[in-house]
Amino acid sequence: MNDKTDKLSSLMDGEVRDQDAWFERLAKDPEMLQTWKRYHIVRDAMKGQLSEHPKLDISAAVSEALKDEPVIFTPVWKRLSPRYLMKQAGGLAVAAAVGTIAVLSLQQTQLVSPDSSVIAKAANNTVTLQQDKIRQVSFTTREKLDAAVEAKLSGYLVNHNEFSKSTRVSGVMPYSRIVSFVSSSAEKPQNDK
Amino acid sequence: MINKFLSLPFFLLISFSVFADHPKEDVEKWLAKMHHASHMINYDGTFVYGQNNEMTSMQIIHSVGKDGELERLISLDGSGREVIRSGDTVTCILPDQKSVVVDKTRPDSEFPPKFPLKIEQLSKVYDFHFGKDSMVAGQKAIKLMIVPKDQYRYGHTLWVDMKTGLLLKDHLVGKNNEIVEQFMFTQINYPEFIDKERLLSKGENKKYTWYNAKDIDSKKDAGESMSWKVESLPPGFVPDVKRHHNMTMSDMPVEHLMFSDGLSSVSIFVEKQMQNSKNLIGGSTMGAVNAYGRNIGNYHITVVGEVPHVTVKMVGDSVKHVDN
Repeated sequence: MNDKTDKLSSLMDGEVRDQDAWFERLAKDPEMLQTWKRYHIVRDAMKGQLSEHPKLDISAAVSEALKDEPVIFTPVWKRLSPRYLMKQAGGLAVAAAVGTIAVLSLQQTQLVSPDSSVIAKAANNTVTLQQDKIRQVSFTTREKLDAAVEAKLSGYLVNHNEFSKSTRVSGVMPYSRIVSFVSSSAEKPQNDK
Repeated sequence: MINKFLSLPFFLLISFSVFADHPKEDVEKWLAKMHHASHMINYDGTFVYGQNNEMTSMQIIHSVGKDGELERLISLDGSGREVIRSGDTVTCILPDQKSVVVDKTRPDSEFPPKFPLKIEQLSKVYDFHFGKDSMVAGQKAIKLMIVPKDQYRYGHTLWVDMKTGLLLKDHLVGKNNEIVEQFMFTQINYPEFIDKERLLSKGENKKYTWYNAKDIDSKKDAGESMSWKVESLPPGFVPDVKRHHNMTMSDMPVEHLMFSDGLSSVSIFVEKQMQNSKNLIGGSTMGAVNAYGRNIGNYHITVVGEVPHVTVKMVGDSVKHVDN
């Protein structure tokens, strides 16, 4: 364990050459992973990064951070609808299919994108078949559309904003994306672009 | 007759002032002025922000002192979400989720920030035109249209405050000239002094769950540990950032690569897949931002950027793992 903890602190300091191999080990070893997380929290606390929030109870923060509950920024993100992807796919658009898919995507805002081959197949079949296939696709893939995925995407977006030199060229836009659209956009069906 | 005679020069005079053209060389000057204003002046205003036929109103308070910038963005309808940016910290307060997420900004950012754009570079991938001057939020504004030369990025129509240089209105424009995303100030003030109190959140944040960014370590990560390469990038996109980052939402360190053409940028996040980890497969969209995710072996990559779907997909599909 001592060897492990030594290695972990070197890893944190970026002093390990075979980082990837160690990250792989981390992934397989829940105990080590917990230690790794704790190290970061302790280090942040030492650096005073947590004390920027004096009202914050650090012990609570530690236990909360160790929980795997994701923060949910939802519903900021919207899945690309089959109709949108059909537009992207260009020549695939068959009039009858567009109608069907449009109705479906209006009914289910959070429809998930089946890949274009599925749509291509669907477009070649009869209207009833298309409906079945698309429903099936949206049903199965909808389960994958998880709050954790959306939270992760929004976390990525904050990072993207902060690290992009061009962020300020877009004025107030980048953070408006984080602040806007809570609940209403998920409850209401909306048109897809 | 005399009347007619007199009105002609008068008419010409008016049309000159209305259609006052700005010379092309002024593009960089205005972009630089806009960049400077967004960081270096105090402002306090209300704006509407829209995407997908939805509008929401927000307030922004931005103050600058010798120590840097402080900014508070508040949603005025709906959830009451807030984003507070102070120094190198970004705090997202999400009352609807009873949580607060604290993240860090790029560690090498300088104050006052340098103007990041090079007009010669930008001109390779965008065309620039000035439009008619008009009023936005009671201020005289110049209109600058930035039109991409290909389908891989969005265009911008910008209205910039003539006096202060602040960006007052922006349309992000897709390839069929549709407005993908927009914002517009409806009211703006430039106060000399802003009370610090106004930049603090009034919410009951201490009761919320706090999530803190664990670490940013960008110096040491470049080089050998970076084993990913991108084979297809749209013209004009060059590497910007490479780093390892421990993110609030992820168990494992995330590798972050960023590419930018100066105005639009694309981030690639690479994560080791954990058991039960849930990731985006395929495309997702939010206003002008698109994301695209796929698995590569034991890794998952997500591409995020304020660019069209076609761009995130092209970049995402071309990411390769390089064996050392």
